[in-house]
Amino acid sequence: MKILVVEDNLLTQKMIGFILSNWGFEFDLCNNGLHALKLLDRESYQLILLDLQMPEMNGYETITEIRMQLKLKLPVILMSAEQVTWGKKSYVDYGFNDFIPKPIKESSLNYLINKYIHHQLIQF
Amino acid sequence: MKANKRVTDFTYLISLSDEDESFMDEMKDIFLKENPEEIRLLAQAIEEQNYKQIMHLSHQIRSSIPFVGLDLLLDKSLMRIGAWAEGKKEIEKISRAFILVKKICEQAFLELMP
Repeated sequence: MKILVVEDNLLTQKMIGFILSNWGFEFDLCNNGLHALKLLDRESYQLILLDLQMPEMNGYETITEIRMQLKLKLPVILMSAEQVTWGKKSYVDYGFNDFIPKPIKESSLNYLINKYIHHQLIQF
Repeated sequence: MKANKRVTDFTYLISLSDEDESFMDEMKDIFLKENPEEIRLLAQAIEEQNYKQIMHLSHQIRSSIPFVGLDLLLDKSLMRIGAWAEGKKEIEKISRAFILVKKICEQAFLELMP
């Protein structure tokens, strides 16, 4: 069970890494979409936690690449300080499965990870 | 002269860390190292009217401040700075809002210094 965390803020990275370690998850950390795509090309993940505002390649661009170019269907959770709508579209329309507001609450992260990974386990 | 009221608060960090002292110390050290540089760079970006950089740095600072409890004081100001910078305007308003951000972050730094 490996999770990819795409987040450019070091404190947030450290916090998520600390929590995932305590819960016994394997994970990789990266700080922009370009790096995430390279990792997705060679590794297998069950879930992605994806920040929105990042340098070089932001969350919008990254999810588009994940869904349209890599054609990956794994669950992607958007992490953002605001509930986002882009024009008339919501995050779901862009390919995200769910949204977690920042600052992240441990209980919310726990709920969402269990929702998507547990769901995958049931299907599997 | 009245002493400044304490601005830092570790309720959020404590809740996340399960009171793991070494993790909390590591997080505080990261803030102490990164925040002054981010403030310095944001001041420079405002001086240069570099709206892209202003947006990036205000977002970075906004992401970091919850870990030391500054979000109640500064989240709105940083959100506004980011929004004005996205619109590539209101440099005067950005500059004024930054005064509070700088002041509070500097006080937090003093409180966190070992």
